[in-house]
Amino acid sequence: MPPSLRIIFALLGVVSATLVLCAALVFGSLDRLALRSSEANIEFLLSQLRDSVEANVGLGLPLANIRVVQSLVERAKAADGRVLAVEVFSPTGISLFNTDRGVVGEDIPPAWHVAIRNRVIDDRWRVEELGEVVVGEVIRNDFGEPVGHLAMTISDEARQDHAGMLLEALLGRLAIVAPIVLALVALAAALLFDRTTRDVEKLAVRLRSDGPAADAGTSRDAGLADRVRQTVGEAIRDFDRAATDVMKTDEA
Amino acid sequence: MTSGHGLRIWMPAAAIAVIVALCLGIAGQFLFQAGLRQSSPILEESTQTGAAAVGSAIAAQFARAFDLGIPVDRLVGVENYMERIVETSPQVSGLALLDGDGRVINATGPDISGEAFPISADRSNATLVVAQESPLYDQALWRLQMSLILAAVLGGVVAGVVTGSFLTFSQRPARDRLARSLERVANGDFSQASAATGRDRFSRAARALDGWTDQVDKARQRLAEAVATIRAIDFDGSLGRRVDAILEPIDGKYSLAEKRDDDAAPNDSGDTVDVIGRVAMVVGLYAAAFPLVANFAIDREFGAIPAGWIPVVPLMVELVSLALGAVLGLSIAGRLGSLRCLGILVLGIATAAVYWCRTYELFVVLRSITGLAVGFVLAGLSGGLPRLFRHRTTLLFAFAGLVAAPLFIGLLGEALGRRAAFLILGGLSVALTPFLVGSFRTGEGVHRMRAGGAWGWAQALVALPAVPLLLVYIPAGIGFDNYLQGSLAIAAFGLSCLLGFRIPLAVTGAVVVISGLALVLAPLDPRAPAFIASAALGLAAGACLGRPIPAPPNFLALAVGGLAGLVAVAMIKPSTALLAGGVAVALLALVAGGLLRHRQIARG
Repeated sequence: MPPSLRIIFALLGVVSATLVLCAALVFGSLDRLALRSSEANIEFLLSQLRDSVEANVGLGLPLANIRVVQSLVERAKAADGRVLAVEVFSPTGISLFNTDRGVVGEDIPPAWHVAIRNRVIDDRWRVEELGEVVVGEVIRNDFGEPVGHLAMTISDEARQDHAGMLLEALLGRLAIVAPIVLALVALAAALLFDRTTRDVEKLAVRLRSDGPAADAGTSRDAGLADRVRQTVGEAIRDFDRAATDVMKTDEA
Repeated sequence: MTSGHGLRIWMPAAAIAVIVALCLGIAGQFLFQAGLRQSSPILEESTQTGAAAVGSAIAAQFARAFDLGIPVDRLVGVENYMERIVETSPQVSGLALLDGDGRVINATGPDISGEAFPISADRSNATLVVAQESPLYDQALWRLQMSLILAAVLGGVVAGVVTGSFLTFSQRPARDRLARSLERVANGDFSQASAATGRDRFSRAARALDGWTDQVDKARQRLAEAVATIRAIDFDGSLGRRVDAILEPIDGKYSLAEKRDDDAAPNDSGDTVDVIGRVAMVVGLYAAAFPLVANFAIDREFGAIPAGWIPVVPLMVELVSLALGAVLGLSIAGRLGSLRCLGILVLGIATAAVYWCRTYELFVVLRSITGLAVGFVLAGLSGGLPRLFRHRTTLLFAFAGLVAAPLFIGLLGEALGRRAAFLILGGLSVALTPFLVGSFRTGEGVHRMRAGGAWGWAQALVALPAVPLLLVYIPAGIGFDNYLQGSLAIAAFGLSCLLGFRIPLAVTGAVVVISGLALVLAPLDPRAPAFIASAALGLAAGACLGRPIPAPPNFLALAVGGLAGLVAVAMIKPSTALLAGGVAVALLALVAGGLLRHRQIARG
């Protein structure tokens, strides 16, 4: 394969990779944006609920003893259809109040423990699980000490639907755009490489021809090709003349 | 026949770069519009829902206050309350409280308009107006646009570099060879054949030239036959003397090969070009992981070692494995294409496997395997070609490993996250294996490469702050949650390094001094120190790597300096003062290298 063709393929590889990267950027950014937008809504709900719980904690009762929290979490779940579950748990990870009353008293999942230890930013943490996203907040008393955590589990179904439709739209657009871009780049590269070696092609034509070529290329190239032909012609004449002279030596 | 220089190489490369960048930029916009068209309804609905929820909640709060008998114009602390809500709710850009007659009682800004929420209580009527907007939305889209532009520019630059490299390492030598052949033949030297076998224009021109020299060969053959015929009947030597007299003028006039060898040794510059390309790609694929290793390690949680060592241990293990792999690769094992193929596959699989890695110990093992594999492959690919490391090829490798690769992975991480970036990087390595392994065999012993003299020591000194900056400070700092930002800082180092190859040493030194002073004295944005240190250390690194020409970098010095730097950063808490110290060490490297080199020159 000629080197220039290999480089054109390499360029097409670079362009293809970048196109896929662009599609990935659009997909990733819009997917994350949709997630964060819906999370922002949930975080508002969460902060309202946290404020209500903290107002009750401020009255001096231990969190586990504030019975009204159970109705608060159930009301919060009912307020938004995307909310699958709301839970309040202690700093040690034991569930105190939950919209699913069956898990009250049990330990929270290990992934939540890891998130609380390592990923709390501005008193908020999150965990992504299969089909669900859990967003949590720290509950603090009037002294700023953490007395528990609030966790809201929201459905990821809407996001996954959005991701699926977005991917389909992007693939469809890529299927149209990519061939056009690749064809343009290939054409531009082919024309460019042709132009950079056109003088060599003209030189080759001049060297292959016996007479003067119609298009001689640059004057330097033409001069060099002519010198080559002249030198070669002279050498052939010298050798042939010498051969004739050598054959005549025995006639002398 | 004109040789390829300057404009003949970089004009076409620049043209390709611009065309590719433009095409990619336009394509990116098409993709962006398609994605936005799909996502906009959902984002609008989400923002609207959020704003409505905020409005309802706040209106309910005001209604409770009115129920307590507080008039709407006597509410205390309303303005601060509404400003706090706007600050904490990205769906809302402003709030306004209107009385029953529609007069504005309180507002977070001028001209608030949007959905109105009536507040009805026994004694008061009021309206809360919620201006819906999501700064999250606008800021995120701006960031996406910038990323798409950066991707287009990166694609264009890489295309330009690929084109420029092809023209420099393949086309220009071919052009020079053809020019030399033509000059030789034009001056009567018919002693060499081109033995061109390719299908490109240079090969066709060389074969056309060979056609002419073949005619000379035939004429020479006819003369040789005539001489042989006469010498066969020359019994007393008289004919031979006459023949010698005829041949004498021709012998001095033309250079002829004793025997035209049909199996003339092929020019190995094609092999060199191939190896350069492969090495650059392997360097790029390997270095692309740099911005992610330290922060991935930190996230694995490992209580058995002090926190400062958590990001450093995988890097040190990887560096040692790389050295071991290089030693193996320089042996006969590295010359076998099959083992190199296996090495590249192992590199790809070990990189991709990080996607599933949950523990620190496994991550260290995966990185050590990656280091071993890449050291083996690089040494095997390049071990027999010390001339591989000339000034321009070191520039190319620096571009591939310190500019293109980090930007690529930064954009990939921005798009799909860190784990997916590892997976795609590994998959790319596996997919490109057939193109990377090559059939190159050294066939000769490994050449000992010159260490670079005075500048070798300077390279060790520069590696001391540079390696921890690139591999630990940036990924664990500004690049921890913002991969694109970290990659940009590393790319700043790479670009400065490329610049440092070319600019005078005095200018480099001056810029390094100014950077150090800025780090110490100037009040800076929290992100600025990393970028300033990157630029200064990059310039110094380029100056030290580019000085001994055409010797390769002193890899041992770089490894020792890098290891020492990693140990230092594990023990000392990162800070701007530490960065300033690193810049001072780089300055020392420049001064020491320059003085030692001056002394070498003075001694002759």
